[in-house]
Amino acid sequence: MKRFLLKSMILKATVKQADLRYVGSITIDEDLMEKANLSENEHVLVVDRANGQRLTTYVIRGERGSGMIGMNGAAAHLIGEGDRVDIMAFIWSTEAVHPLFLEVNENNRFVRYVDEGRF
Amino acid sequence: MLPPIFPIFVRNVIYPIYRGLRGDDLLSVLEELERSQWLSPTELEEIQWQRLEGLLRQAVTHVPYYRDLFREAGVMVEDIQGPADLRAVPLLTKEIIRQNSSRLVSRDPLKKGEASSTGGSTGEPLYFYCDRASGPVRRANTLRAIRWTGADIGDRQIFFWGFHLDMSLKERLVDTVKSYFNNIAYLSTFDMSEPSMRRYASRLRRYRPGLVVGYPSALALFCEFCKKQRIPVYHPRAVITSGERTFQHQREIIEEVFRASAFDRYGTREFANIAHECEEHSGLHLFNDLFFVEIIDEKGDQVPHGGVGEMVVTDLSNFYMPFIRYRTGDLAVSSGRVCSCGRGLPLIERIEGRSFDTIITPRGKSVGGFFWTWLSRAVPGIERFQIEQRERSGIIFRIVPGPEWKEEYRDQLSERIRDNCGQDFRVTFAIVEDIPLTPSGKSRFIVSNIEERLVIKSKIHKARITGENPGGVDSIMVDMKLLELAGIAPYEKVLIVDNTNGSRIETVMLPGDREGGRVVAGGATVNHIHTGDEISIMAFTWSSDTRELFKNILVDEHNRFVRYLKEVAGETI
Repeated sequence: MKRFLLKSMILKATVKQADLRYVGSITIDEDLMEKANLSENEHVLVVDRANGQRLTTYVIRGERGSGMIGMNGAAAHLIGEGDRVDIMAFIWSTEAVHPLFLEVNENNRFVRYVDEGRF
Repeated sequence: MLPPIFPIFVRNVIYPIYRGLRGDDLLSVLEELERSQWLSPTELEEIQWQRLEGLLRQAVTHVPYYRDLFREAGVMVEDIQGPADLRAVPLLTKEIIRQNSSRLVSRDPLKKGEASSTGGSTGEPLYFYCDRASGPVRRANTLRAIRWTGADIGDRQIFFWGFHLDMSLKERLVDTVKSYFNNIAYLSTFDMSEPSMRRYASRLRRYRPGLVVGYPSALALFCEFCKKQRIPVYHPRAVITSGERTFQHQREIIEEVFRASAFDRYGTREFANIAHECEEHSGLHLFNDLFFVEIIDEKGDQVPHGGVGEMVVTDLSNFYMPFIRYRTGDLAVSSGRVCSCGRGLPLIERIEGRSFDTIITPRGKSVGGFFWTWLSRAVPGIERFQIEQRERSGIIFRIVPGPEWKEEYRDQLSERIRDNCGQDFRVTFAIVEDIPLTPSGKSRFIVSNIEERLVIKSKIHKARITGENPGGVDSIMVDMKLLELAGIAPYEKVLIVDNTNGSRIETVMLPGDREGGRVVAGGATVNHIHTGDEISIMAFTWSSDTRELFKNILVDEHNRFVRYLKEVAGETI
């Protein structure tokens, strides 16, 4: 049986920009995308630690090394600049997985991979 | 750790006692095999054909899968008079075994089987049964080949091998005890770090093996390291390379550092050893007293001598779960030569690699090992290569160049690839010094790292809601023309985001009238999205194509198509 399983999670990222006018969805620094094994256009679940909002959207590529996490368009209604968010991506698999948990600093720079128990 | 046992003790005391306890006739089978290998090719073919006929008869009589297969294909065992007739029997694949595992088991009460499985290093493991009676035959066959190298029963063997990660604790314990009394020790190729290789070298010196067995890539890595670091290496009687293709440069460094001859072995978990190099080192002898091996091309025709083809194996000693014309997925170069050693067992030139690993083009065409192997020889100077695919749209072609390599060959290669894979197929060349091994310590020439992801595939951006239908089904109804442009099917699940109020809801798409630009919120959706709101509608799919697939359309305030959008972070429309 195939299950919907967690593939990766970027923990406590800081939203740097929330703009209703911008196209797209969630902008993520390309460096973080790579470390979290995310592709452009990939579906993600974003949860806001500040206000409890939860939304699904897709990824667009942010400038590498910019530390950008941006909420664009309608999503900016729900998640504001400065909010801390967790970003999750999933796979569809028959096999057990070892998801990647990414710790980032307040500038959204990758710090390290962590075990879920240690966080 | 207990000290190793003297080979002579294993050979003359432990082994005969153990075989006696098990009550099998391994030693007499070995005697028989050592005699039959000297028969003439014609005599061997006769024996092989008799065994094959016996197997076919048994299979059709006692195995439901084959009974039905032969009936459906309209084939009678009597019709199969020679290798050419065997083509009428459809090939057996891993997938067929998975789907028919119980129907593939013999209903003959006299046959007994033992469950086994492949390691799954190249994907899903395969579960199957071996004939209990074929166990001693396989072991005897291994011993026969070990004797070709100059080693003997009981000689200590060290394996550089990917560990049995799939074994349970009990199996591992049994294996450890068995290995100890059989004088076998393992070194894990999952860990080829420098400290570990130092450890392996000292283990070799203490253990003093007669035989070193391993993946050529891992052994070559170990030998290069020891040579460079001037670490003394114990010299065994012989080295057996197995599990993947052996390249000439690997063989050279292995023979130099171990100061022993290397012998290539080809085997699989389904069959144990199928072919082995003898002391003349002129290719591998096929064990055709135990197997019927065909080397066929993509159309199923036998390849000419010197040609590359896939090995298709019929196991002549597994009557419990007959493997008849089983696709191994391994490529070999066929040979018409006769070995000067005098054995009647026929030769193959060498093992090329796996054919199952394939590259998928954006249009869904599968391009397998045949093409890439052929391509690597289309220009001179490619010593080794690897094709890696991360996305549907292209590949990375890694080349370890030889002295004859020229930069202009890139264009020739690109052209041939595009002819086969499509003109828009991207080829990125990387000229490298070395090709890294897989985590299990093996080398692979085609690596598919394509993943299926949940990705956005359709979006209708900035649509206006023109009406509400609270009494209707929960849905969004949109002008059919827009659905076609965005590639959304009627009744597809969609995500609607409301740019006006921020609501996000999931519902289904209903096809509306063509033209007119109506977008109507139905059922309970009207609690969240309202007439006059600006919305975007999205649909997702599972795909390895993360870019080309996405159809993103912009519409105007009357819901008329404007253009296709390409989104860039931080842009406004």
